Amino acid sequence: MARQAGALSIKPSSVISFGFLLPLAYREESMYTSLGNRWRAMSKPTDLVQGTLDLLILKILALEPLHGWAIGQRLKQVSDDTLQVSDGSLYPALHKLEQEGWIKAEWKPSENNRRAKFYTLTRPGRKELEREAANWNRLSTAISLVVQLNEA
Amino acid sequence: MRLEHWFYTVPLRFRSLFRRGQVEAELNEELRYHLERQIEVNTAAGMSVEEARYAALRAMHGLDQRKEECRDMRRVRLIEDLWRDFRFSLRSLLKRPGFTAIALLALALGIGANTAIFSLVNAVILQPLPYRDPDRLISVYGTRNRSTQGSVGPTDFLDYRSQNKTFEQFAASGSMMLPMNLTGSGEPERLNASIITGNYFDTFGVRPALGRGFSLENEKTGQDHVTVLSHAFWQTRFGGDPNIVNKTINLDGKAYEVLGVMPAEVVLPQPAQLWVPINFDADPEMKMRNARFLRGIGRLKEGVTLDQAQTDTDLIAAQLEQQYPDSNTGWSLRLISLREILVGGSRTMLFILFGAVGFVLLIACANVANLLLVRAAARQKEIAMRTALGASRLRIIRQMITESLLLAIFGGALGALLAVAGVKLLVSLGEDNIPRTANVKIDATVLAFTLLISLATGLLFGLAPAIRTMKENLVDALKDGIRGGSEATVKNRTRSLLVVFESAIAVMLLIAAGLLIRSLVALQNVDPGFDPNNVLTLRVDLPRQKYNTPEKASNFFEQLETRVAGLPGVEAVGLITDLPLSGEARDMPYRVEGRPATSDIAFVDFRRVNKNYFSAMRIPLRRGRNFTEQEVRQSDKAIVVSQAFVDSVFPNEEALGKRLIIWSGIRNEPYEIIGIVGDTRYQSLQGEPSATMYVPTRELLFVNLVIRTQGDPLSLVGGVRKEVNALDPDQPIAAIRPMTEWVAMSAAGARYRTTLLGLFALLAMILAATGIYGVMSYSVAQRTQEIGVRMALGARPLDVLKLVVRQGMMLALIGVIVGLAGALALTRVMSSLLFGVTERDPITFVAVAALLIVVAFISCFVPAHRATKVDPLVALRYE
Repeated sequence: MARQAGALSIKPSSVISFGFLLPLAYREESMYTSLGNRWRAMSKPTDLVQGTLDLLILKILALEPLHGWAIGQRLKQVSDDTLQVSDGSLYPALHKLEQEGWIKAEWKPSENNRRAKFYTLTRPGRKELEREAANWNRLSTAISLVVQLNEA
Repeated sequence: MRLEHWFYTVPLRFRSLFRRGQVEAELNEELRYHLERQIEVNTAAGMSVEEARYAALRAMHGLDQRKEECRDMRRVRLIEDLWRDFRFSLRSLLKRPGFTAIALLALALGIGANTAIFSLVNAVILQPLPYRDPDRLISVYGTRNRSTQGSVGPTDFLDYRSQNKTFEQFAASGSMMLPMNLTGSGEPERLNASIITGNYFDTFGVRPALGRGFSLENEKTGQDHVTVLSHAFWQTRFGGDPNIVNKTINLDGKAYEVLGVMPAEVVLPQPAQLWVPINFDADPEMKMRNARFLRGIGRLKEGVTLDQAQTDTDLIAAQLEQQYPDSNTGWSLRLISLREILVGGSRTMLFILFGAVGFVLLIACANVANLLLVRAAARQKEIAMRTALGASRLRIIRQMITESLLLAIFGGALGALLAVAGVKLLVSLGEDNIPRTANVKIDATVLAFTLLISLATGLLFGLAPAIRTMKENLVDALKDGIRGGSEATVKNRTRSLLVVFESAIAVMLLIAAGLLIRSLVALQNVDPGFDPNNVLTLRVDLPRQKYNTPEKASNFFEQLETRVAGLPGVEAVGLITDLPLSGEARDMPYRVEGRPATSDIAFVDFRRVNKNYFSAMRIPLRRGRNFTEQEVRQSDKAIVVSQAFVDSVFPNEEALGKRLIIWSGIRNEPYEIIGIVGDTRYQSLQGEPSATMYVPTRELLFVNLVIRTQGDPLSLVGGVRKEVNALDPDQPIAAIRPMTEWVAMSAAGARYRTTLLGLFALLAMILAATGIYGVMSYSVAQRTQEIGVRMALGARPLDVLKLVVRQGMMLALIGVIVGLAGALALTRVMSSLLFGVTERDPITFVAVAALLIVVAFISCFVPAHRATKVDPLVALRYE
């Protein structure tokens, strides 16, 4: 299956391997890709994985208000370069969270003294973060349990 | 929680919609900031500025696509797209004015016809009757052996009114209008009065706009000289005088006090000019149970069903039968809901018309779908291009549907305009043939219907091309090589189906119209039994007060007869009580002398005439003799009967000289049959002529004159009027028309539905012909290259002609066969409207099939002929 451009890619060495569920996509309409002469719909990514990037962004913004560029940098930095969010997919994700009312935007001078769009977590956003984090914990615990099964 | 959510999101949606420019600018700035930072990082890592910029852009995986994704997140796509689709569709429709105009015309005709007919159906059938709780109103008829809808006797009526347990109100009106002569101020005028019981208005739940109505007190002597005026009469005669109440007017020489004026919008089943109360004590006639002249109207008590009321009145009828066997044997009441009486008769016709216009709209849909398919083929490249640029399939379908809906809504708006004119025509043509036409109008309900069918139409004809488009092969479309291959055949199959469908429906409609036309022709060829040409008819009603003895009245008519007969151009002057085909008739109970009396009383349609009636109407005397002047003057006990009477009563006997016992109003008297005349259709042109009995005129208060003239009958009106006024200057004359008009009027209903259905069938045929023409033209254009090759290889023009015509005629023929089969299945519903033809009349079926084949042939021939003009050289180069 062709990979969608601008997806969250995970390094092969990563412990978290959800590669079979990729790509992450933010287009709400179903997508088409040209395979030969026919047009074929690709399956929509599941909500779980789609929510993963949201969770990461919300968490980072919970620490401090940041602009898009800085969010990308911070993501790389805190995950020890394991998680690399493509520049392309970050902004649609931010816009989606903004439109959901979970984060709000504000134009402020940035560290290099130029106007940048800073995102802040809202109250509903904080609740969403708690929900998503809880979900994630449950899921990752469950998957860890499965992965650590001893082979007979 | 939800509220807090909206607190953040709602302002954002508004911003996205209405501050789009600013939102876009911010998006650009945000991404530019990102790119600049990335470029800085890249240059710091040692790249050249140029390299750094490309690397940053690459990392975005397509800046514009990302922007588009960000826009998608705004959640206002649907609205934005709708608006964009709307503008795009409008532009694309305006770009092809020819296509748009033809499509709009077809739709406007289809939707307009539907709107107009729906406004009829709505007003006549769907809207409630304009009375209080109209569903509880019941028409009450007197009936013999439960088969007829006749009148109720006044004394019987009073018994039913006082003894019934199921009616809240029980009222009645005279079964016929009472002619009253208005004299006093201004011209004498003959008025149509309705005599009603005191509770008549209350039963309907209507009340006068001015003054008051009647009460039961007005049924008594001394209180009965009061009247309520209709709004129209009040306006025309009294100029809407607001002080009319309590004034007196002179009716038949007596003073009547005006109690009130009815509002304009109140229409009672009998459209009278004024109402006067029945006085149940006034005449000895009122006490005779055998004199039946009332039509009842009842309001059921709450929760009572029609069946319960019928059972209730049947009980009373049984008692009356026991008490008064002479007059009431076999008589009871027949209860029918008022709605059924008022609209029941026109329901079949309206539904057939409704079905017909539905079919017309389907054909229009097929036509527009055809046009759109042709267009879709032409737009294949445009659509492929848009798809390649990232438009999703859904987006493209949405845009195409928007375009179809836009077309349909414009078509619907035009259709509504057409319908406004159409409704006027429908009403003016159908005033006498359809009840409740005064209510017919284009109102909110009708417009809602129009919108609904417009949208449904748009979806119907828009979907097919949209689905087609989605099956297109993008690469092939872009490659430009779409000619002649299998793809074209598939599309042609859809179009071919539409042609078959159109022809089939046109055939069905044409057959329905054809059957009605055949019925109308049959109806007009019916021999009414008299010669209506060159006959003038008019009616004279003498006021009872002025002509208070039989001698005065008979003197008047005798003198009038002589005077009119003396006018130049008059051949014969006949007198008769009720004109043929005028809708008026009377029954007479009789018994053949010498035969045992049975419980079933025989009745016969009877007319009082003078000696010259038969010659004036040219009704042939079969056997025996006509009345003598002496017999007429003395009202002798001689009768002439029609052939149908002889056939039914004396099938194997000599009728001449037989005597009939006839109830003359006072006692039973024997009448001798002296002559037998030919049959005359008095009731209607349809069906067998009924048995008729003619009695010489005696002292009557009203008479219809039938004047046989040498020239134009209407040229005599002035002369006759002068003679009437010479005898009595206060005496008006009424119902002045040639006899031919009575005949025409009795076929008016048939003519009306034939005209309408014929019109719709014609419309269907034209639309179908355009459809066939369109498909064949397109097919020829598509096959230009092929035709060129054929001609280059030696095909003659005739071969090409055959090739194209054969293709089109195949489709048309299949359509005709399907249509004939459909008609066989469907014409049964209209059997009640047919006369003189069966619903499977072979002549109609064959003629319609032939007609459609000819029309289809012409529609194919024109494009085929064009194909023969193809220059092989040009065709081969044709790109």
